[in-house]
Amino acid sequence: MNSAASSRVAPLRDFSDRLSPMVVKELRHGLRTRFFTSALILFHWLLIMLLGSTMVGVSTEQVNELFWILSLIAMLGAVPIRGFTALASELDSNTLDMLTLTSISSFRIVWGKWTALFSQSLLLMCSLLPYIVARYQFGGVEILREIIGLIFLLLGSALATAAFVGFSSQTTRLVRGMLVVALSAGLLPLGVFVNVFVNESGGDSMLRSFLALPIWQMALFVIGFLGVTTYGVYFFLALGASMIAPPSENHSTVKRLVSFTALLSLLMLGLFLTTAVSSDAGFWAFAPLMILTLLNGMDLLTESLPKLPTVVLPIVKQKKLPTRLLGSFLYPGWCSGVFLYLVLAVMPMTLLTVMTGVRRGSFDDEFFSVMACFLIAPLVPVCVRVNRKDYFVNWWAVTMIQVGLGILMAVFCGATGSRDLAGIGMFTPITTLFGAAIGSSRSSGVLGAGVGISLIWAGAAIALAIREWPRIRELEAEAELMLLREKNAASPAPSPLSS
Amino acid sequence: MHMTAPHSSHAAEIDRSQPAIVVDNLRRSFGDLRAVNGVSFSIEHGKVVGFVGANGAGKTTTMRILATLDHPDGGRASVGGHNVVHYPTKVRRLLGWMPDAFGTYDHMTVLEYLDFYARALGFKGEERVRRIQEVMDFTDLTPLADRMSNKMSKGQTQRLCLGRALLHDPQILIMDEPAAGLDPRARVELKQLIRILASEGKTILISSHILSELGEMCDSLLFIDKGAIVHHGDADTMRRSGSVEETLVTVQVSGDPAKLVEWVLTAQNVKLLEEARHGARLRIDSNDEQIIAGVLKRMILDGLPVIDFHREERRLEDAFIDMLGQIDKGTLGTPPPLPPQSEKLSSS
Repeated sequence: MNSAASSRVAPLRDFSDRLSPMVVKELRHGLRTRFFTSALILFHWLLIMLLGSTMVGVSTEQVNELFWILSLIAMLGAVPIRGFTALASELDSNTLDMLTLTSISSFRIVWGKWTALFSQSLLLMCSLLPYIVARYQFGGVEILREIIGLIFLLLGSALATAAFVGFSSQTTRLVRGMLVVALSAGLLPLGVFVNVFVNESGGDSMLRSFLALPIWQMALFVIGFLGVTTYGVYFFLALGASMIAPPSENHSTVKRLVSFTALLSLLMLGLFLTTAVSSDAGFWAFAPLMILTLLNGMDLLTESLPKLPTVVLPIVKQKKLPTRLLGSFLYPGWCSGVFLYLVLAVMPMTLLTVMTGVRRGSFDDEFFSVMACFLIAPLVPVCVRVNRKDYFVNWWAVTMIQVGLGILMAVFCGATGSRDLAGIGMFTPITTLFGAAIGSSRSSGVLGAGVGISLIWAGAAIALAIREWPRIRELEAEAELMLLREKNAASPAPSPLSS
Repeated sequence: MHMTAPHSSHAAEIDRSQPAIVVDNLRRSFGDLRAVNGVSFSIEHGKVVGFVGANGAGKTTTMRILATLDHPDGGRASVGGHNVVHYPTKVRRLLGWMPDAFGTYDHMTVLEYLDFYARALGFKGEERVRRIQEVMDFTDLTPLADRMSNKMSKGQTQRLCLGRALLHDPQILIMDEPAAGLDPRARVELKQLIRILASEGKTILISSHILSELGEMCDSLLFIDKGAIVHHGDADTMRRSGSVEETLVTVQVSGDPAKLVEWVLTAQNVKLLEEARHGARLRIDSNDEQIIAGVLKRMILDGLPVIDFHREERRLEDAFIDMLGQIDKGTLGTPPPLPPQSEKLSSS
């Protein structure tokens, strides 16, 4: 026996047992690395310099604008983008297998990563409060707008961090690059909105309009906003969890049920706002409904087909429910994803139909066709396989190819001046949109024909899903066999004395 | 290092009425590559089994499937009576997994590393503290508690990996190349730890390239090649099996060794391999013990002053290489039948 064996190590009691192990790990890691501390000190040094610049004659407007630009970069850029290494680092260091063998679920792994980063955003936001008060003392600051702006920033940071963490399991460089561009493009409007809200007169009128609303409408707006953000965070984290989950686990069914409920709630909210307030009010529900439907499309249509019966077992077990019907929408894999996506895609189109019906003229047929093209576009990569190993990579590759073709077509038409050629873009939904944009005088014709042709893509995706379905049936049969075995094992063996 | 393995109240109960590990016609392909192609074997409780095969033979894939980290395309595998595909969670509670490539975390000490995994395995409060201490004592990691987990030697890292695998006191251990890259001292330490675990009744499936060590540690060995089991048995059987019909002996005589050389030239079934200072190295064209004994008897009867007659032990490495050669030539017979498999229909 080694003498060291008799010595004791000082037990670790820095974090409570109630905290998730993953959160504890990430917080310990975060506290030990110098990156966050150094970045925080640098950030505050810049802010102090900025406040100090008012002493040397820099206008408060300029200071306010720079303050918010720095805050936006920190909260929507610097902190969330660190999430992009969250799962990739586990994959690179070969530690994900170890985590799989513990009782930590894939979702808790992703949740832990997000919580650690979001707590840094929270810390950063709290550290901004004294500067807001100080600037208020200097004048030129409306404190309510600034606080609301900060809350927007925090929620945006939560969403952006979740998106970066969720997608961080992607190791293909090209896809990672595209995701950074896509997420940055998605965050830019939010940054612009927050900046306008706190610094421009438009923000002031927006706030006044909001405060003039009846209390129930204000409450509905706030609940809706928080609800969409919460769902968005959940969606991205669940997406990340399903990407790293072992093939025996089903992370898809719950995610699909939550998504269906969230989108249905948003549809109901939109319908209520459209009928009770106005179609303009309904647009506040339509926009997120549309974005979330497309995001769900990207997820649902890129899931690998299940290979193990354990993933279909939870649904097969539900004997009282129409199992096979439910499974058509809720089993993991792109096959059932096609069917569920079509159901989800009906929701924004329904809301749009009601909105246009309530106030005819506010939305025209072209807008309807454009939205239809957007909703059909995610189905094209189901039919075109340029990467047979990874459906997610394939989805992005095919989508980018469509965008590239659209750009080429636009350049060609622009260079030759032959806008009539824009009609050739009708072969896919995305190129249809480019074609409609180029041939503006005939856009409704191009769009109408494009939607018609796009429906063929949808039909082809359904046909492919039906063709693959026997594989799901095999898993169902195996799962039923598992249930039978369980039943046999649970029932007591017949007594040899019984006749 | 403690001479007994630590036991935990967290340890999952195991059904000992069924073999610890059963693999039946397991298949797994990656594209066109058939990594595992109909592997079958079974391991009884408390046995230490070596898994031998060249790189790419299918060892790691088989072990990963057993550890529920990969899934088979066909066939069946069960650990502790639980099908690894149908009941992965139950399997995970029973087994400890040591991968060939073990990852640690930056900015995390050995103690924090074990604390994290202990939390992840459901240990709470004082029980967690006690369990970590036990595992650190067993693997001799206590002096390294505050060392960064990614700044340790390969041997220390492997001990940490073993410590993590033992936290929940698994009854079955699957170790993929645990001795790879270790210096001789670290290898001896690891071997000692494995021996202690084996003596306490744990079932261990261990793959290694260091066949001589496997021979010493293991109750039996499984040879895998191109995704299929080509031989199994204990180390002695393995040394004999697949070998060519010959025995190498070193003979020393008193006085002039030329007498021995002359005798060999006239002897049947014996050939001179090389002359030595006090004797010679000979090859007897048989591995039959009666014939070998007959050669020695004839030497003595013919008046040779034999002072040492040493039969060279055939190394496992030689046996392995011979076996691969015979597989390439297609002259290796089918492996002996496996023990009967008896996985009952079970819900657990």
